[in-house]
Amino acid sequence: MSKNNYCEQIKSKLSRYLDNELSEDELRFVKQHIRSCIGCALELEQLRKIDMIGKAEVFQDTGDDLWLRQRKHIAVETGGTIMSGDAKQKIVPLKRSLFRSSGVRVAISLSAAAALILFVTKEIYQPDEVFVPEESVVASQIPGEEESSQKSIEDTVPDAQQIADAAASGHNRVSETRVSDVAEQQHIIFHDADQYSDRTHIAAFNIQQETQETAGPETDVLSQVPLVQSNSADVQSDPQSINNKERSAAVSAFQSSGITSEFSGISGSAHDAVTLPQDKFTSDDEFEIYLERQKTLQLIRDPAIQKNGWLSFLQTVQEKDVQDLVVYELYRLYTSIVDRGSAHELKIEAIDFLIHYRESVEGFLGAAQYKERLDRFSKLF
Amino acid sequence: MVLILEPAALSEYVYLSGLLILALIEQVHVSTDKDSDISLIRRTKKGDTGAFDELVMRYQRQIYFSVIRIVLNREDANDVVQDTFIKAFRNLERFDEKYRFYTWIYRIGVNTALNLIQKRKNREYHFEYRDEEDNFNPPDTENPDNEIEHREFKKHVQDALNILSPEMRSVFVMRVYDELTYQEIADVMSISLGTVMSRLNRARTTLKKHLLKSNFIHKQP
Repeated sequence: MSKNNYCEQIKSKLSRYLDNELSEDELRFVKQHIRSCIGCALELEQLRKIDMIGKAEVFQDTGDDLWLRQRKHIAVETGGTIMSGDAKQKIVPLKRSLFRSSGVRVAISLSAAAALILFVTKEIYQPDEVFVPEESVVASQIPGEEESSQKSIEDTVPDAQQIADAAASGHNRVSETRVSDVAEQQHIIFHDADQYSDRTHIAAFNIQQETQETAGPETDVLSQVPLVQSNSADVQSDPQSINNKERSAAVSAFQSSGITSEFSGISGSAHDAVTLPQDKFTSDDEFEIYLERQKTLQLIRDPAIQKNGWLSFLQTVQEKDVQDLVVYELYRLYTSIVDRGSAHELKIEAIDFLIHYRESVEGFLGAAQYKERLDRFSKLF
Repeated sequence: MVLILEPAALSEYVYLSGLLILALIEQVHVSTDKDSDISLIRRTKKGDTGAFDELVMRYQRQIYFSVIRIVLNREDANDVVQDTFIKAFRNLERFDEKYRFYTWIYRIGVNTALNLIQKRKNREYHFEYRDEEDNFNPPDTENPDNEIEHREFKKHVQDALNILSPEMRSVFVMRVYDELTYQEIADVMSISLGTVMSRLNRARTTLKKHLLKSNFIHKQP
């Protein structure tokens, strides 16, 4: 089969690939191909961009007035009543708080019943009144009642994977895990290095370092995520000693916290750049991460911000075909920036980019179009 | 053990304790029910006039933001949401408690939206985005470039969704926004899997052509 036919076959499956609707064999087949075929990888990225149209949050919440009006209308038609009070406060989020769960209520109610029985029993068998029997029975305490259950910290505090799972659960698009929640959890976990495995600690330490490097000296990462710096020599040792799963879990938890989004998208790609092994994209998981990062960066609408992310990423990429992919993305972004009539400095930067990456850009544009594009950019001054 | 108590006091204690325990059990029973959609549905059926309002509050926003992407119009989306819950109320007896209430009401919502479009097929459908009404999205005066870009992006989205037929648009939105599987989409719309895939492919192809023309995406080198 010729390469073109092969690629056409793959492209016909990309829609289902994007929707996780391929069989296992097909999935493996497609993944393997797009890792080595820029054309098909770019086609996939186009599809992702197209899907942004459907995901875009451009329909505004018009405020409580609309929701209240709807409820009133429905109540009138159904003969019902509406609950008083602020509509917002009454809304029950799909993820209910622990306190509202029926299990806790049952436990509380039964505990109250048990306490009442105890109280009554105590009163009956040892009344406070005058008569004191010569032999009295003191109501025995329920064994263990006064012992607080001694659970190990590891039983009660989630590990990195659980944090990542908690952050990801129930959220298909946007994680609502607040920075302080994740920070607090991580602080609890990593405060005492002896309690947790070195691996988890290494993962957290490395994430902390990477984020600080990415954010730059002017941003105090520690104040936002108070991971304790370990003095352990083990922590500073080979970061590859942790496995990818633990690392991914720690990265996911960090990224889900929303901290990385404050760094204008740079840390998104830089995180992945740093977490990729030396021989990049040798595993399916890592390539998936790379593609996912592309999707994340696409969500940041400002091309100037995207450009920073891609530039940072480009500096860490070693594989030539991946470099070309990134250069193409940058070329597209710079074109968009220039077309919007953006600032003078950005236009100069765009020209510098075209010159510096001439080989790659010429490679996919062709010499004639490359020259035309360079001339066009220059004429804008 | 010597135990001397006045019989009256003892019986009073037992009686009161019993009452309290019964009340707590009742509370347990009620509180177990209070949180779930099923309990609200059951209470509605029994005539609890506020229970259905709780259900409306839980799901009106999700239904609204799903259907507005199909009808592309605030007033119509509002009508669909209201009609959806009214229909659900009137057909509560037909709701099978084996399934999630939201899934059921979502299905009603999508079909109500498509029926509305069918009824008004002579009316041109376009997203009514009028800046003067956009009171909840004040202009970003500190970053005017961002504001312009945001509005341009919104325009891209509006125009793109507008060009899809209602059937393609609803399948596309259900897949991409609501993240339903192909089978779930097929169930909601009562169509075959093959039809789902075909409509989705056509939606993406149509959008691709449109977005290439408007330079939202660029032709591959």
